[in-house]
Amino acid sequence: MSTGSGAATFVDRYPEEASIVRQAFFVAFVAFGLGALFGVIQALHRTDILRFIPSTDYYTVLTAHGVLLVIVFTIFFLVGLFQWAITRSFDRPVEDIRITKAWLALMSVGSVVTGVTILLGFVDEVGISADVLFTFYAPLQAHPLFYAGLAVFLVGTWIAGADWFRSWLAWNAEHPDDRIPLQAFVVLTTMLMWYIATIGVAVAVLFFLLPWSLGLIETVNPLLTRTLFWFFGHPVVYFWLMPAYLLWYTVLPKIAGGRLFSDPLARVVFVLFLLLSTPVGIHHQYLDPGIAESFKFIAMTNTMFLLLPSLLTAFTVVASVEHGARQRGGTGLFGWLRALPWRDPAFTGMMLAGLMFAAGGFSGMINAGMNINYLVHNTLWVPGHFHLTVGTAVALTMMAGTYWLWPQLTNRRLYSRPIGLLQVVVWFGGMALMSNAMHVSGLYGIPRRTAEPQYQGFDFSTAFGSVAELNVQLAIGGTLLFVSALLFLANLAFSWGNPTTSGLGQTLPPALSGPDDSPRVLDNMRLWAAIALVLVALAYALPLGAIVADSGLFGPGGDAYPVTVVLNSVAVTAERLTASVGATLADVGGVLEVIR
Amino acid sequence: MTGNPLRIETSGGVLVGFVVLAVVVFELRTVLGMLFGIDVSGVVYFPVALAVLVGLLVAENALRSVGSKEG
Ligand code: HEM
Ligand SMILES: [Cu+2]
Repeated sequence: MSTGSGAATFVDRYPEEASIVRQAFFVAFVAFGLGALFGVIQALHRTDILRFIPSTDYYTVLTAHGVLLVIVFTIFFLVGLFQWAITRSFDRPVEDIRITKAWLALMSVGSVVTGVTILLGFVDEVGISADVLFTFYAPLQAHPLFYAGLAVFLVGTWIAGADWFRSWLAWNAEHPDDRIPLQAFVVLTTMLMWYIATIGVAVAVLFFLLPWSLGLIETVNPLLTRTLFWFFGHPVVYFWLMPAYLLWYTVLPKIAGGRLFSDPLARVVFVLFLLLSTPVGIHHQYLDPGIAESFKFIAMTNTMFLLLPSLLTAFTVVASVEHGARQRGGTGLFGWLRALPWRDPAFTGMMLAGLMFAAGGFSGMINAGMNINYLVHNTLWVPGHFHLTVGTAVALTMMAGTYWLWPQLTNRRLYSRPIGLLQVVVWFGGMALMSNAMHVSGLYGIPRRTAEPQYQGFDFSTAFGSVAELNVQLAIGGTLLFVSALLFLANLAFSWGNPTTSGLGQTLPPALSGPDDSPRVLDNMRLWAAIALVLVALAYALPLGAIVADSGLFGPGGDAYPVTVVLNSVAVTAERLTASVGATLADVGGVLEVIR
Repeated sequence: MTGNPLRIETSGGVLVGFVVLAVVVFELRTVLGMLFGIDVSGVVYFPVALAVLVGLLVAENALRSVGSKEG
């Protein structure tokens, strides 16, 4: 990794774009450091190991942790990585650097406004706060600046997407017969998904939450804002994941010494994510009483389909890594594992992240099952799940990717590879402890989002071990994670002190099975966007219509849907269907009789 | 197998393998507890597990220096 291939680096070739990428990463890592600090405060507080803050400030900390990590850290890293991927794979500078600078500035200003509004929650005298958690739907209400910052941030991301589509059009005009390079393909499909997904959150913020917190409207319909949030809230998890996938598909095989196994399969995967990631959001609302069970059932079915692209990814990525290992001289059924560059933190970080993603996928299947969800809903199990997915599969891959990319963005070697290796391994171990404790605590019924979950005069019953033991485990895990985060940041900071070196550039090899092995229709962005919109309309038109019809756009919320009504109506429909099929069969029988 | 220019002799794999194995062994106690209802005391389980893991590590190291093979 640090030896390089002797080629020119990204910063040599595109200094202005490299500067944009570095700035985006810088914001991401500042947010990451702060977020990690809040994380360890929570881990120690809610387990009652060490309390630095009054419990009344817990929601301020939790909101800052959530927003800084899953909105600021992940998305700034994403735009940096995507800018690199677009420039690199089209091999052309941005069309107009002023636009690029403008969206980065908008995103940064928006994040600072939202972030400061949250942090002001610590200073009671100011009277400004936004303790609404990163899900920010009603009835929790934030200061208007929270939503305003968010809106500015969103507009920034929209312009970023437009900037990349513009690059594509310009490139396409010069290469009308070429297939879209895979990295650019990932960026474009991901941004289409983002445009669709953000409709929900933009409507929620602009039409309901912001006017409501400004006092322009009296009330909002909480179920409506929840549903609009989750319209956005599920696809956003794929938005976090796609940069990690980009690295797994296009960089990991190279680090492993090989090539991507199949470019066509990768394209299919990203198209599937575009199509399926939005019409599933209601799976976060299995326990919302105002939504009919049948809509929840549709969301569950769609969610299960989403397993397909993830399993395809597991296959392709492992196959590519195995190919790399065999190129390096690895042999045997599993012996090839020994031939991999485990000492390289970029490689090991991504592999461990992938392993934890598999575990997160399994606990996600529990969440997604409509009935088992009742067991884990709003318990600590849920943070246990997503610290494996976004908190490790995504975050650790981003850190590992940085180890590989940073020298090419700065012409400076990484300060220390052994520290990097230690860092990724400590993250893995720490997360294993923390996430295990969270999952098990959740099964014992311990709630999430609670500063003091140990109610007086009440003991959670345990299947094995004890709650005290789980608390210690969670706190140790959280502390290890915090240490790992510090190691990462320090390693990068010290790298800045290294002298500049030339020849650190890295090239990415083409896939074993290239894009020409796949039908051109895969590159038809319009088609996939249209199908995705249709699927979203099918999944959401009726539930949203029902919510509004039931309790009004700004209404206080309607009555619950009793499950039996829906079952009855299904039964009635089924009865009618059987009757009509029976009648048709009788008719056919009659016709046959006549023919005889 | 040896002499391949791409091949980097590394003990990094041993470290990673050890940590992954340690996590699996750790999770095993949860599996025993949650799935089979066997409550193994952590005070016994963890020291024993650690001893076994360290034993394995030492054995691996010894084997590697004897065979002077890559790992
Ligand atoms: C230093 C590492 C970290 C520690 C110690 C940590 C700890 C925690 C804890 C204990 C909670 C549960 C709080 C509660 O429900 O009462 C939590 C929630 C959360 N964490 Fe982390 N975390 C870390 C890193 C991350 C990362 C890297 C991400 C994502 C990129 C993340 C995203 C979240 C989110 C979204 C929540 C839910 C917030 C909410 O309920 O509104 N965390 N974290
Ligand atoms: Cu979801």
